Parts: sequence; C-alpha cells; structure tokens
Amino acid sequence: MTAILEVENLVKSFGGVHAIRDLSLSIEEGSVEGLIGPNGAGKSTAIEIMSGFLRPDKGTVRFRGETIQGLAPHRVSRLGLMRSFQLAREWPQLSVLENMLVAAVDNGREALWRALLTPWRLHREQREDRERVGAILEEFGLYGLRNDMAGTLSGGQKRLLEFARLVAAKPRLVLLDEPMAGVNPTMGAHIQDAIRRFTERGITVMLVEHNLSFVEALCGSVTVMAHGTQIARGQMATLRLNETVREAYLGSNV
Amino acid sequence: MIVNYVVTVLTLAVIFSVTALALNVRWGWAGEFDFFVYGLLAVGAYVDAVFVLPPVTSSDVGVSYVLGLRMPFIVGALAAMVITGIISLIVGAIALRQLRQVYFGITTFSVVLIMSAFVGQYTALFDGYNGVFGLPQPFNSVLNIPYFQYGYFFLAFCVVILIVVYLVLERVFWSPYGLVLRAIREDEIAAAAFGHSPYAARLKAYVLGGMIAGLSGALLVSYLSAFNTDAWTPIETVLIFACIIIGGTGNGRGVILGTFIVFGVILEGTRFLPDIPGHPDWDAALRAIAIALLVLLSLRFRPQGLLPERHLNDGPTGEGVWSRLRDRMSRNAEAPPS
Repeated sequence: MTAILEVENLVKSFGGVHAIRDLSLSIEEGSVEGLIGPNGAGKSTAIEIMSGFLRPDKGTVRFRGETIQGLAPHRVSRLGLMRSFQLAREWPQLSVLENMLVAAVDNGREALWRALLTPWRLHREQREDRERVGAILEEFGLYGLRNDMAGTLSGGQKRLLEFARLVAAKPRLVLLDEPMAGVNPTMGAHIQDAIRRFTERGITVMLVEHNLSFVEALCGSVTVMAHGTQIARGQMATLRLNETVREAYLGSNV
Repeated sequence: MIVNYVVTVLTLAVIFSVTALALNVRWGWAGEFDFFVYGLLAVGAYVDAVFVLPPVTSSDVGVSYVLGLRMPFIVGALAAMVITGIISLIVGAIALRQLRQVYFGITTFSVVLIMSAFVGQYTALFDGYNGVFGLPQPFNSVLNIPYFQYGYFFLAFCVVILIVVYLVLERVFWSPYGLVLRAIREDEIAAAAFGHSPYAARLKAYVLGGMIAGLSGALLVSYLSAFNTDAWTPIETVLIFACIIIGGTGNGRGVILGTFIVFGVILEGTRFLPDIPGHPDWDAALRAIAIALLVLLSLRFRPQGLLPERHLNDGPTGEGVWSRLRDRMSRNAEAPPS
C-alpha cells in the first residue's frame, strides 16, 4: 500500500490560537481513514489546509507525491483531492441535474472560448455527461428529483446530492467533513451506503466525524487528534482502550 | 409623425436591450452588483465617435477630441468593444479579487463618477462637457438612404445586432461555462471545491459583459449622432437594473421584455399624459415613481421576474402534457426518504 496523501509537521495558528501545532499523518490509497478528536482538536483546520482553503504556516502536504500546500482550492481539486463541507453547500438556484453537471465538467471544458467556438462538441459531451450523472443520481436515489431546485431538498437529500456530485467529479481522494452533521439519524444507513460507493470506485476516503460508532463501522484505521496534533492511530476497537485517547476525550465514554 | 416617433422609441428600446443583456451577464449570471455597465456604454460611445468622426481642423473653434479617423461604423464599433473589454479587464481584475455585493457596487459606482469627472474636465480627450457630435449615419455613405427612411434601416440593423447578441449569449448560457458561472454565483466556495476558479470565470463574464455594453454604446452614439457627459449619470444604470428585475434576472428574453416595458411603456407612455398647469415636471416625476413602483411590486410578488431564469429540463419521453404528468407521478413514486 502506498500513501496517497502525506502531511508532515503542519503548523497553523490564528492570532494567538494554535489550531495545529505539529501534525503529521498519512492516508493509504484505497482506504477509509477516520479522523476523530474532541472539539477544538484542529480536525476541520486540517481539512481546510489539505484541500487548499487555508495556507499552513509551516509544513508540507503531499498528494500523490506532489507538494500541494499553498495551491488555490480549485487547483487542488483538479488534481483529484476533493472535499465536502460540514453544512452541505449545494447551488440552490440550480436544479439537481445542473448541480451534477457542474461537478462533472472537468478541467478545461468550462472555457468560455469553447462555448463560443465549439458548441456542437460541447453539446455532445454534455449529452454524455447527462447520461453519466443520470446513472449516478439513480444510484443515490435522487433521479426522481433531478429537475427540482437543489435549494428545495431536505438536509439529508442535500447531503446525498453532495456525495453524488463528488462521485460525478471523479476524485481520487475525498475529505468528508462531518458527513452526518445536519442529517436526520434515520438517514445514517443511506449516508454509509453513499460512502461505500466511493470505495467501490477506488476513491480513497478520509472522514471527520463525531459519531464514533459510525466511524467504527466504516473506517479501517482511525487517526486521533487533540490540541492540534496526532495523539494516536489504529483501529477503533484498540483506540477505545487507549489511555491517551480516553484522556483527550476527558474521560467521556469513548 | 407618429410612425417616426414609434421607430425612435423602438430603436432606443432595442439598443438599451443590448445594454441590459450586457448587465445581465454581470448581474444575472455572475451575480455582480455592477454599476460600471453604463460607464462602459459611454466609453463605447466615445470610442466609436472618435473613430468615426473626421479629425479636428483649425476651423473648428473650441472643439477638441483625440483621433478623428473617419473610419466606417464597423471599425468604430469593434474598437469600442476592444477598448471596453480592456477597461473591464483592468477594473474587473482589481475589483473582483476581494470585493463582493454592495462593496463591489460602491467601487464600480465610484469608477463611473471618476471617469465622468475626468472626461468632463479633460477636454482634449472627448471635448469635455460639450461632448462629441455630428456623427455620420452608419453605412449611409454607401447606401444613400433618404433621411426619412433611414430610421427604418437603422432600427432593422439594431434588431439584427440584438438577435446576434442574444443568440451568442444563449450559447454561452447553456454551455458548461455558463453553468459553472451560475454555480459560482450561487456558492463560489463550493464551485472552487469542484475545481472551478471563481476569479477566472467572473473576470471572463465581466469582460464579456463590458464588450457588449461597449457595442450598445457604439449603436447609441450612432443613433443620437452626439454624446456628452450629461448622457451617462450613474442613475441610468439603475434604470437598466429595473429592466432586468422586471423582465427576469438571468433570462435573456425576459431582459429584452423588461427593457421594452420600461422604455416603451413607462418612459414613453407617460409622455401622452395631459399637462397640468403650473406643474411642468409632473410627468417626469410620475415616470420615476412608476418605475420605482414596478420594481418594488416585482420584488415583492415576482422576484424572479416575468420570465424566470431557465434550467435544463430533463424530461423523460416527450414535451407533452401527458408525459409531464407521468413524469410528475413517477417522480413522487421514486422520491427518496428525506
């Protein structure tokens, strides 16, 4: 197994707050890695840095051997490292189908000159895209809603749409920031199925989540963060017995 | 003559439809609260004028402007588009980097005020507050259409330009670029997360809109055959916003409809109202009130406008009523748990 993402000695502070002190972690290609830790551990900041939305003060992020820290988010995304957000960020005034097509448009095809000069080719490609994203919507149970505005969906449906969009965008690694946040617990099984669809397609997953049984059900290996650094890594069952991890969660029932 | 009057109103409505389509690219598609569009119309008008007019001679006392190339209208219009494109690129490259919403509006508004003051004071450029005048009728040195029939020809020409601009913009609207641009309008952070550069897409839309505004300026100055700083106060941009909001933000046909309503019905319709002795300005005041009311009523009761923004409709089998009904029923049947 090779590491698809390697983070080394990351440091990030906001004013006097040291969000990330010295974080190193790696994600194996094809795995589902969990990232857990108490509130304020720096999990979300780590995701922001890895996906290019924040610039680290120090340290390196390597994605498939390429150094990516400091790249603009859309450049990181084009390399195949994509992310979801704590609150699903759909494009509300676009239909579900259009949301999918925006995600499916890859590098270069959204150029303005192509809209003006090669419309027929774009038309054909868009028809192929529509077939492809239609199949993905079917898989996620959203096909019947394809003509609805994305802003009118329920919280759980928006989350499913977010995952469907990620599948359509064909990433190599996805960072999921609290996939269960804002989702009705009865949707849990749907969300788990959705995450399994990433692995079926060979997409590596890292997910930040507070619901630990959810993490245990999905993740082969889990990284634990506290105070801006990694304090442990292993299988969830082992980590439950780990003294440092228990302490980090202040004696709460891990 | 009433026919000539109608032709005049229609020509102006068609020209301002082109301006409104330009603002629609910026405001409707990209979501920029842009006040610069009317300034670019002015730049387009001036550039076309100094390309088309003859050079200033020593007998023109008190008149001064640059160039004076005696070029045909086509060259003037193309130059207008190039220059407005370059200015849009510079202003957009600075303003689009950080500014959004009302801050963007204030900035672009200020740029228009500065430009207007500059053009007014620096007479060597476009003859200051006097402005440029005496432009020849486009194509008429070749066509030699009699004066009273020329209005029909120019109206037809403007309609052709409007149709071409509309069709080009439709192509852009339905292209991946147009779709990505609207996604950026909805949520630029999410768009960046899917590999689309918000800054690049916005800047392109800004330049595209600016060039179309410049083209409309070239048409306007050719029609009026004169242009000065009084013709472009920032308040004119508000009128163009009104056209878009009433007609349908984001929808090209709606924008054209809105422009015809605002210019044809409100601005011109009220001229036929009887005079009230002692209140010479009452119809002008009424026009302003009528447009404001129309905008408020639109925003309250139909914020999407008369013709809302269109979306890809992935109908199942056909376009008929029955297949739509079938689609709706099947849609309910396969709705996922929420």
